[in-house]
Amino acid sequence: MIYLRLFFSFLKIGFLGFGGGYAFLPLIQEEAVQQGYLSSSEFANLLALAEMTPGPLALNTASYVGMKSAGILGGILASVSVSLPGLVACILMFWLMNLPAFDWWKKGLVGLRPTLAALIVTAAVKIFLNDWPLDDFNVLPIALLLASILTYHWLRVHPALVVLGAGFLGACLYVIGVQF
Amino acid sequence: MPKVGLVRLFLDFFFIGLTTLGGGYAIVPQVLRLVEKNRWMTHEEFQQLFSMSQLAPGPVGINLPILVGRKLRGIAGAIVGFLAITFAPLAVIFVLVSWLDTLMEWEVVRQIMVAVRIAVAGVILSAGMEMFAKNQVRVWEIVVFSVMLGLLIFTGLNAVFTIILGFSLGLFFLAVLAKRE
Repeated sequence: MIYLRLFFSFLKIGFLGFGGGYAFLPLIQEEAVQQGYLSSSEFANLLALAEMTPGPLALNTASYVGMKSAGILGGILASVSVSLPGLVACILMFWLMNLPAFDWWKKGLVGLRPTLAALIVTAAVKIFLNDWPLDDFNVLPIALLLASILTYHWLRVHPALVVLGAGFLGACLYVIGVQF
Repeated sequence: MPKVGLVRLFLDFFFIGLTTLGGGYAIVPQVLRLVEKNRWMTHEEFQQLFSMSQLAPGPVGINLPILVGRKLRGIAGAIVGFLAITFAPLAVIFVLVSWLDTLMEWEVVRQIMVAVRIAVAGVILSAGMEMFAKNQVRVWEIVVFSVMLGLLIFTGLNAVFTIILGFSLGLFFLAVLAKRE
């Protein structure tokens, strides 16, 4: 039965994947092609597709694969099952780490700050370098990067507005014939 | 800690799910601002939740809202956080599923996505640095930051190992520092 197969496929992916959405894509690709949910040509576009719609990438790819193979119910099932291991683990971990026995963990957290910052900066670097024009130097991406830092950090503009504004700018630049 | 209504929690995370382009990490700056604005927790408490979201299996972009919900309103809050963050993305894909392939072939959409990704990188970068530089930054912290950044970018270190290694390094430097004082 397709629903049961989808459920266990994505439950497995939810268990094996850790961190940001990009870590999930190879897992989802392997499972989707192996189980025949998508052809490999359909999968080639999956990342771009998942990026175009709002929300976490792993969730978007899961719901897209689910919907393509079993309609709306398949989409719901795939997104629930990909998040279920995280939901249970988060609740358990929250309880566990607030026990007195885990006081050392809370104390040591102060030392984790630079590592958390490195994780976040890595995500940003990877997303940015994805669009780096390696063949010729282009000042536009750097200008846009600095502008978004400025508007978010110093002008305290809401992050969603910064990102949507950039998208609008991209459309305007396209209209006047400027390429990134 | 103020008492937060479940409906309010749902609406806040629903909005984040609807407006976060660029993947799960782009949720971090949004949640950071939300938590700051409402004074739901301290920066330390937010960092604690963020590190847990990396340690648990599953996407960070879903785990973080679950953990914020859990902290503010218990298990009901965790479930509300989960439902709220998944609702809008699922609905958008449901509506667009048959048009997405066509949309993707438009050159203007490609250009918009490039601009969106760059802005997402900028916003995530700022949020990371804001979390880092909230208090005084010590020399060992800059050393650990650089080492971890190098490892993550050049070796593709897994998130769980990163946290375990970073935590051990932090404990070591904190112990050395405590001994010297």
